[in-house]
Amino acid sequence: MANKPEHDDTICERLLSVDADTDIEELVSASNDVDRILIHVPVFTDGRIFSLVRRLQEHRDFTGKIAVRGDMLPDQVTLLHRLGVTEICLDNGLDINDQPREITRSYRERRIDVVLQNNHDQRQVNQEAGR
Amino acid sequence: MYAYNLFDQSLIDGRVREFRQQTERYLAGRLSEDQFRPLRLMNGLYFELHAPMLRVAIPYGTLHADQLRMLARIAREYDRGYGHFTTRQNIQFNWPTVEMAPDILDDLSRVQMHAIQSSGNCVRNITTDHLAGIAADEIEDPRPWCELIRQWFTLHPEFSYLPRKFKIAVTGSPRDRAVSLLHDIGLHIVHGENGERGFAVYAGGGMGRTPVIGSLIRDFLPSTDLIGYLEAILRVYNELGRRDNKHKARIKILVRSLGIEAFRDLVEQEWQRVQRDVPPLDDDEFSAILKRFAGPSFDAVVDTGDFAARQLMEPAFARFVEHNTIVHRHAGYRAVYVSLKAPGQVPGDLDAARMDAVADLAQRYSFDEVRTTHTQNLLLPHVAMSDLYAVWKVLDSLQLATPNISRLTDIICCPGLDYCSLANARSIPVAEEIYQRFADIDEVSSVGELRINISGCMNACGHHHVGHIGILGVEKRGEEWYQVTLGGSSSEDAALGERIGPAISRHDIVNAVEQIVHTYLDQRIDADESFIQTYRRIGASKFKERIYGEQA
Ligand code: SF4
Repeated sequence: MANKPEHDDTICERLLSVDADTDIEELVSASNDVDRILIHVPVFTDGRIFSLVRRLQEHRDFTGKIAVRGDMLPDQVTLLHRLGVTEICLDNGLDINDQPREITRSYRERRIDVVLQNNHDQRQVNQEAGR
Repeated sequence: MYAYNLFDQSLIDGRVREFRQQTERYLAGRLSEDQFRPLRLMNGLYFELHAPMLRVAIPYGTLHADQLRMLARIAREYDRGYGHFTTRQNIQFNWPTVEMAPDILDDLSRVQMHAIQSSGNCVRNITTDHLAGIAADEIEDPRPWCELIRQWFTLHPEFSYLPRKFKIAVTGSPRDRAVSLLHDIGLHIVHGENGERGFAVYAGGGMGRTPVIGSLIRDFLPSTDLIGYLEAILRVYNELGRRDNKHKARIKILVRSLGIEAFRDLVEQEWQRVQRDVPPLDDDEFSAILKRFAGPSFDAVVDTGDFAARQLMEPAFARFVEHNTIVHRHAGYRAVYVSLKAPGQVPGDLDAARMDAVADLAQRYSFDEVRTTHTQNLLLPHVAMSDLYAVWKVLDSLQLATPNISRLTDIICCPGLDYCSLANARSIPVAEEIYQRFADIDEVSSVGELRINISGCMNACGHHHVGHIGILGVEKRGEEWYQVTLGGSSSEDAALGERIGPAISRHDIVNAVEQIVHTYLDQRIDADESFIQTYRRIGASKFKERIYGEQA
């Protein structure tokens, strides 16, 4: 399991560094007040990272950043981006930019966009009605 | 049939371009074989025994005539002139090259088709009852739900690298014609007492080397919660499914090791979380999908023409009507099976010329629609009875009218050692020999409903576990042997066949099948008692004695 969060003077943040096969429950409970979680992916076929990331995003008390490092395909970077990960580093020699320039959007993202848009529109309507 | 909207089309177009670049990177050495593997599998491309194999998705087994014509064209231009329909209602081409695959996908996209997630460790083609929208006992048409699930789990960022493949089947009738209890998830449409729509959810079923019948994990899931609940199941599986052993990686092993109660609890917990992110389905979203399912506009009153007279005049036509057609819920129509099982024909194979011919029939007589069945046949779903004779004439001339649907020569059979790199034994020649042995159609008729399923190895692509007679190829000292199971069923009364004794040699296997059939004929109470009913009544001993002698 994860090392205890430690205070790092140089970058002045609380960093938690874990492997992708970390028990999700433990990680989630250890993630409160952490500024950044660095997840290491040992092998690109292990898709647990995607659920791990999503669980962290859903966890209300975690407001930090998620960074991912390890053996991933450039093509998988897109999936991580979709799940909200912004910092990704491949350490398997593959070029992160060597992926299709245009990446297909999934139905899931489209629905989420639509739902967010609807909520936004609804808020506007409510606001205008309240004015 | 579902008609694509702009987004659907742009998604598959984008996917084709993406896969073309992935293939280029592989061919240029910028992706290793191992790195390319999941990318190509998620686009249906396998590297098989003799050549690559491309599996094209046929979502819930529905095609329109132009789509079937495109499959014919692909068979002709990129393959050796034929395709193979699979037990998951898809089609496989056995001889394309890697370089061709992006071009084939490009051609497919022109007719709203693709190979997305037809393989790989992700959510596969959603399958269903081939009689959806036809069967009299149907509660609700399952296909729009299949489409909803298909969309949601297409390129889903969380579930594209699962421990293993993931198969979902949906059925809308009490009679299960979708083998749903042998899927990772089986969904049964149920309506609550006050008409609320929902699903009974079964999980953890599957065939393969450890066959398991799915367990009920929820008896009523409101349909608005379907997506969130499926996500919860998939997430529990993604997190906890085994990744250290390919043969223990399916959800059935997880469900078994946790126990159904603990598994259910985990899913429920996860579902509470997932709901924050996945809002319940609203009516508008589902109606948007429903709207794109334009059904056929049936004639209100249909003149059945000389349908009855023709049957009296031509017994062969009468037999075809009896065995290969199904009464349609809409009066005056029938659903017509196109039997891909005939002597000299590999079960499920169809050549390009005959694909075109079936497409023409669909266009002219079946509201443009053709379906694939998990039993590896095709179906013309809506044929007016007055047209049946003409349809039969054409099918008969194409050798697609063998009146054997659900009979003992309607064999489900995997490609086996002739094509598959994992096989222990051949399966196609065994099926062929059974046809030869039971060439007399009167005999086949008199035996009644009997399902023989053959797999070339434990992976069970030929569904041998759920065949009334199951045949499994095994290898012993470099020779092909076959294990026989009896009493399997894939319906709502799903059961796994029981092994009746030691493996039987290639030389003797078809004799053994014949002995089994004769034992049944001797033992049945009357012609109304089917093979499976007789087997359930008398058990295996009489069959064993006949095959193995007294010592059994
Ligand atoms: S059952 Fe075995 S031999 Fe048959 S297709 Fe599947 S993997 Fe190949």
